[in-house]
Amino acid sequence: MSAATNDPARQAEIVKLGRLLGREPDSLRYLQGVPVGDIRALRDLTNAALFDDDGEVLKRLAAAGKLLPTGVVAAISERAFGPLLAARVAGVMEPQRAADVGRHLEPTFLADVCVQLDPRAAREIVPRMDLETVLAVTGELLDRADYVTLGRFVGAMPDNELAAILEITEDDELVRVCAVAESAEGVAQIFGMLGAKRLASLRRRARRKDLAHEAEVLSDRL
Amino acid sequence: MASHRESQAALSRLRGVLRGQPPATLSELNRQDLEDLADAVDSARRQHSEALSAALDNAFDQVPRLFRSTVRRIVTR
Repeated sequence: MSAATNDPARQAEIVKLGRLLGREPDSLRYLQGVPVGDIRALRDLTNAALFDDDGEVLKRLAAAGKLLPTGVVAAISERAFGPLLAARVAGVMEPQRAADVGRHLEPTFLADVCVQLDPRAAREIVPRMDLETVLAVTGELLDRADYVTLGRFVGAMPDNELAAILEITEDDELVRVCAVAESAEGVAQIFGMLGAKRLASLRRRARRKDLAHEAEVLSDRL
Repeated sequence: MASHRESQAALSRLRGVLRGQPPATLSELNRQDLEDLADAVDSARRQHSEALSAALDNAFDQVPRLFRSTVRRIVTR
């Protein structure tokens, strides 16, 4: 196995697996030599091992939630579920209902939920959310420098939301997010929306030493 | 030889907790790392199960009284 310790994509996968397992990424450093696709496959297996047994309970929770106003469901999510369980329940809810509940959540809590949300569910929910909420959560994740979570949402945004997000994202943040993005189509969508001026600015920024590894990952775009 | 057997046993345990075949490259990890990975998955699964159970109990208390018995019936049926 090759030991490519500075590959941002591999490091991002280790961070995501660590979050799933409740472990610090550093405690999983022995995975640094494992190919990135294999770490992702391990994460998928782990995800199934942790949550498949509870699928029926989560579906029943989502069904019971239909009886309650979305504001009450949001309050219960924050007070009783916590971000991990809220993300799991959101994943089995009807996407429009999940988006409506999300509108009532605090951006900091919603950002915590996004850390755990299955990107497949995000692709259905995010386009149904109002722009104000999406921007608030994006801002929160950018403030935390959580590029790994933002990278999971690349490819989940419709063009109008993405355009607004690109406006609040600094060049270095955008490079870091794209370098760990899971969706190549999503990265293409982003670069397709950048004007010549922004792209030139991005390229200038990516030439700096602190983004060398990210620039290498994105070499075909930069 | 004993070390190889121990690694195989650790890999087998990892397979068990994952309930599936881990990627082949993981077989190149040493026994301690494979055991650590299996421990991590096992522990996370137990913690998640306990957290779900606690969250459910807590959630029922947050549901407005009017809906509480109906919600409980749907979730615990």
